[in-house]
Amino acid sequence: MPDALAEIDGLDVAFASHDGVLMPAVRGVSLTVRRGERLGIVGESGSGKSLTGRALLGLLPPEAKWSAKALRLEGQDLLAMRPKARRRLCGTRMSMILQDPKFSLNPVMTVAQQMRETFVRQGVKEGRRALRERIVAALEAVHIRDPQRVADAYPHELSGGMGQRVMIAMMVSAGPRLLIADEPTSALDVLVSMQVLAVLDEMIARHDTGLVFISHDLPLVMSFCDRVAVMYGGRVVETCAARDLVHATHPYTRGLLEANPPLVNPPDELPTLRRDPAWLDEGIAR
Amino acid sequence: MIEIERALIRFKTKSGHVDAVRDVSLRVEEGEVFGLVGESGSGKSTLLRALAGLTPLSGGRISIGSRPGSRDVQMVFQDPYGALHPRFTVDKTLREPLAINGIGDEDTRILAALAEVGLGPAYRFRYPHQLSGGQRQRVSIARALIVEPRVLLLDEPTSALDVSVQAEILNLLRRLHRERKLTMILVSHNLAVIGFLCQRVAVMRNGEIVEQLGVDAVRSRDVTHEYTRRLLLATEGYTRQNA
Repeated sequence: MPDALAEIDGLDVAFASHDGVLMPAVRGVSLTVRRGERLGIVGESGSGKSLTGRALLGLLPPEAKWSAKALRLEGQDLLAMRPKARRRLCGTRMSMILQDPKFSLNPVMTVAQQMRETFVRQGVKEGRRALRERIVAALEAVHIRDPQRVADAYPHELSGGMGQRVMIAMMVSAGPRLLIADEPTSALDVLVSMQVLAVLDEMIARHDTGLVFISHDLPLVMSFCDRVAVMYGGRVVETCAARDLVHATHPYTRGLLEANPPLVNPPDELPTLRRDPAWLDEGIAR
Repeated sequence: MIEIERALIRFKTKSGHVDAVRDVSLRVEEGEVFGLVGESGSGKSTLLRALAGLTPLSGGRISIGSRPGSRDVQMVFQDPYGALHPRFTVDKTLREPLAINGIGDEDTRILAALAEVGLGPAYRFRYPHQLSGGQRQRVSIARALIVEPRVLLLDEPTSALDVSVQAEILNLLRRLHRERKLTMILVSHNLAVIGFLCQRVAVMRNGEIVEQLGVDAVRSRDVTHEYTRRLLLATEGYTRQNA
């Protein structure tokens, strides 16, 4: 695909169980993110959506057994790269935001210290004062009201929403080509998550960053992304434009949609998902 | 059934104190399901803990039909991973509240409680790590129900679960309410979940109740407080305007 930003072709990930049998977690997943596109990956816990995102960054756990026909970023073959060169892509051309800033920020460094580390890694060569200004400007860009104070704060002194803004400031201010956001708002309150999403929306639009948005919240993904891939049992069972997700045809996607309690006219009993074992093995519908 | 009058819950901090719940008054009728909604830090969980007798009141009065902390009032927590003892089998988890309250006929009651929450007898001797999140939450509910309480306090019982599992747990809670005529208080930040189970809801912010309304008013968006309106808007997903 000519306008492809990132491509995953035939990704398999498996883990060895206690008795040495390989348990597949991702099975033959192929996905493409176009330039500036927002791709949502939805599915239940254990459907393989986070592993798919991590494989692109080269951040799979060391015990994972994986293979792929191809992984590409802007046409560049990631599988052929030396590990060191590939690691250098992380935080510069590709970055990731995780679910809970409490665990993804370093607890013993101030915000400014860890942002300085990130910027230096991204190749910024500036004096202390200029770097400080850059950090404060990055915090201001994610609408943090008192950036000087937040810069000197430790992560435990920040609220969840504030911590997630700091993460976005760190990850997006270098203008990465691809951002992987793994459940970036599921540890946050409804209203705070709307604010964080607005910041994310603005930042990726400004830098024309491609986004992979991993979430189990279908209504949220429908409203935030351009295109959605639905994963079940390590496979992509359906891909469609986000606005068409309400008309999704796969019974799994339909089941997930209908399990959300509607605010108006809720049924007496919510429809629950009847899992059909055939879904695990059917060809990838696209 | 439950009456809260001008409740005040105050915590000491390094630099003085913080009032987590301020001047909260509400009534919940027998057999009613009442929702508490609000953001983190709004005091909704603290109020629920006070009802369970886990947090002392600093002022005001709570009457719950019986002594708080008795077997009549049981609680289900948000995180089914943290709420079950990792080295207790399901059987032991369910046996303990029976022993504490001096209730006999344990084996029959344990099997009945498991059946009631939709778990077969095969689950009886499993450990929590051998159960899924939804199954653990079912065990938590069984543990609360086994002492036959009149009031069930639910602190975000589905927010750690997948939406498909959430639907199963919500259906279970609705059936239990109908069959057992339980009085329930449900804490959630999801208005759609509240709307499915509750008849009335109180919206909390900064330790205070800003609005109390019937669930029909929520559904028809007939709300007066700006904060409630924003919560309602957020149920529709992300739009550039509602952020």
